[in-house]
Amino acid sequence: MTLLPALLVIVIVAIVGASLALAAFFWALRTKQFSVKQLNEGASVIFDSVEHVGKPTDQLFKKPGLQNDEQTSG
Amino acid sequence: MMFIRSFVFFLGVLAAFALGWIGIVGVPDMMLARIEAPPELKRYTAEQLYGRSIYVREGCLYCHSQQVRPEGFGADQARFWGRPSVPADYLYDKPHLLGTMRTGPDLFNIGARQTSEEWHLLHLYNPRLVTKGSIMPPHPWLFEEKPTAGPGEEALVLPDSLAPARKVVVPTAEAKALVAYLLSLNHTYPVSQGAASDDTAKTRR
Amino acid sequence: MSRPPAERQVSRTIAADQRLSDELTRIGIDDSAASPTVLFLASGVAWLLIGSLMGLIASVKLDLPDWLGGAGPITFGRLRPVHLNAVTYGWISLAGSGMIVWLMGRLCRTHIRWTALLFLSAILWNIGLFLGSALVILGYSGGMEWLEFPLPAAAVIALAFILFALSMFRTFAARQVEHVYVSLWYILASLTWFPLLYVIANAGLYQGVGEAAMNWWYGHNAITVWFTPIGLAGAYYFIPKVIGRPIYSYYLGLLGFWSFALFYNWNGLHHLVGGPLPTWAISVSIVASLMMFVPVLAVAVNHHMTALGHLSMIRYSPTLRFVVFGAMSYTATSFQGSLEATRSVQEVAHFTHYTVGHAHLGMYAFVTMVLFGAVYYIMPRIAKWEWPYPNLIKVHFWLSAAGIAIYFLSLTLGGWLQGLAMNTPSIPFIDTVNLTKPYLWGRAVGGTLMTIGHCVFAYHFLLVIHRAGPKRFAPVWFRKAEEVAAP
Repeated sequence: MTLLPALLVIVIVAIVGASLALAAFFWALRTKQFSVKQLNEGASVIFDSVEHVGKPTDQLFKKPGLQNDEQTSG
Repeated sequence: MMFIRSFVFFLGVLAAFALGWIGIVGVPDMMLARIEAPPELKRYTAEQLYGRSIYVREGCLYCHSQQVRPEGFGADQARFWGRPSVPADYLYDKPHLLGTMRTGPDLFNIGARQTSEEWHLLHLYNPRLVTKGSIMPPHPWLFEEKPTAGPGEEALVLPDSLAPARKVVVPTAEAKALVAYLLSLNHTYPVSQGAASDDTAKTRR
Repeated sequence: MSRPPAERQVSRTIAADQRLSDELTRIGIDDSAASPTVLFLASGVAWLLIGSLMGLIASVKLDLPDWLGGAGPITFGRLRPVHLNAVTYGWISLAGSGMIVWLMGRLCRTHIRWTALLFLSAILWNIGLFLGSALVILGYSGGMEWLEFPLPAAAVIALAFILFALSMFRTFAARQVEHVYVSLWYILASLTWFPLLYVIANAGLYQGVGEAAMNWWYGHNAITVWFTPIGLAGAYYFIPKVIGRPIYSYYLGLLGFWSFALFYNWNGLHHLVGGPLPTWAISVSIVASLMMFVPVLAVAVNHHMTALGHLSMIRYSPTLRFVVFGAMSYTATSFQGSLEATRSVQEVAHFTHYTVGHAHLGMYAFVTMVLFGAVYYIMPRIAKWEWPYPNLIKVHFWLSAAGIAIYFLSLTLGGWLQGLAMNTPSIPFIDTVNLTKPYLWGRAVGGTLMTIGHCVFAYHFLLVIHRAGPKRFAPVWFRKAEEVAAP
């Protein structure tokens, strides 16, 4: 294969790829995927009402006497 | 909504992967598909191919490259390791053995640089016999120790410190095939820059 | 604004019920992941020991080339690929899979589906690794870096991965949360990418220089689509989870992920700079490598800002200690990698031990350290047993950290000097070998420290599996479900 057909493949692939990316981007904008609410909810799915925001987990190196309240409360 | 979001996600992920594949493997491979072998590039003989498989088996490629860099990029040209390698040089190679390390020197033209079969055999048996300071592994299992060399066999000439007592060391068929492969690594024939890939010649800083 | 006492009482009860229900849900999900996770993690630890030993022997062989030099199966050229395959497809892949199983349950808030496939996958995976390593040692290497395992072994591993991915996708489809967390994006992308990549690479589609392009597209993409996502998924979960603060900017997380997917798939050919390939293709890879600054900065800022002001917790949390070390190494190794891809650096660094140092910065200081952190977090929660000797964790951390530091600095400096010497034609080639020798000893010292650390880690891991050791006053967040339910 010479340079020209290879170039053609690159151009076609680039156009298809770019239009897909643009379409996805505008879809995301239209459906408010970037809204603050969406993003904040997404960021807090790793917490629940027990292991809540503000509560550290995994404090093995803390001496038993120094345990904070969180770890002894139910 | 959850479904559409997943759909867009997986579409994007697949597209990102496929574009990279086409871009840096598919298209270069298509461009190289029609290159022709230089007339002086010979196909490997059965013995050389066997030797090549031993080169793969013993992992030579982890310390030796088989590619020569162009003028202006490293010192390959000044070290006289041969003209820059071009895609056509590798047409008969599978698996490719371009290599990524030069713990030892490049071997693309070792067959032209070191033509002595005896040197190669000694070097394989124990590299420090011929190159002081080498850190290449010895390959004694490619050789046999026997009381005397049989007909048609030639024993290695070893210093007393390394020679086994009352025995001689003769190369096996594996050692001979590996050396035959190494001696076949000779890409000193000229290639026309146009046919070779004008891209490669332009590789500069 | 005070509410009547009765209403306050009710809301307190509801909140208590909610807490109890959340706790039981989380523990139930961890329990559903326990057996397959332990199987994957334990296999990973076993392969870590095998791989470390192989690497250490290969490393010492560069210092003492005649040591154990009499037999083919233990020559450098066979042990080195077994080391690479054992630590990447063995340790990182298996331990990473264990972490993924556990994270999948937590992030989808549902129990793990099709666990039988996971058991089958772990068993097949071990068989494939054993078969592949044995074949390479016996002399049947496929001959391409990262793809040494011959077809039978590669086929078994591919099947194992597909079974693993099926179970994970089934669990994802049953998820009980609306939002898919950042870690899960990386995991889902890997589960899609890696089987495709591995099958294409082992299909033998290319020849000659085209095969070299495929080889390094694969070699770098294995890092893109599998090893790096494991490390990033872990870092994105454990840093905010241990600190107890949501990730600094979810938006940066999005930007980081998509720029990562877009650019990192094009990096491979920077391994062939100066080689016999079309210059434009190599240039594309160099540009893509430089563009990696975008996702790397996004991740670095995100992790740094999340931990900012809370770094003192590293003192208390074994997990955070390892994961933060890993996250910082990710930034370092990525910056180094982007610069290393440029022609002027490649002219010196290519073909030298410098590259080996870089590879270990990524695969060890980043991915492996994150995985250590993950194991320290996950095991007590699924074994319901705290790590019995916290001091062993500290010993492990310092051995690993000091080991990789010595290893990396030795090879980076030695490799760079080696490259400079190689590019000076008046220096005979053998002198480029001689000058690296002290640095190769440094490498063996670093490798020894890491290997000792791994033995400590493996011993401690076994103790937790057996619930052995002196019973400690453990923090209470991994009590058994029934203990929680009791008043």
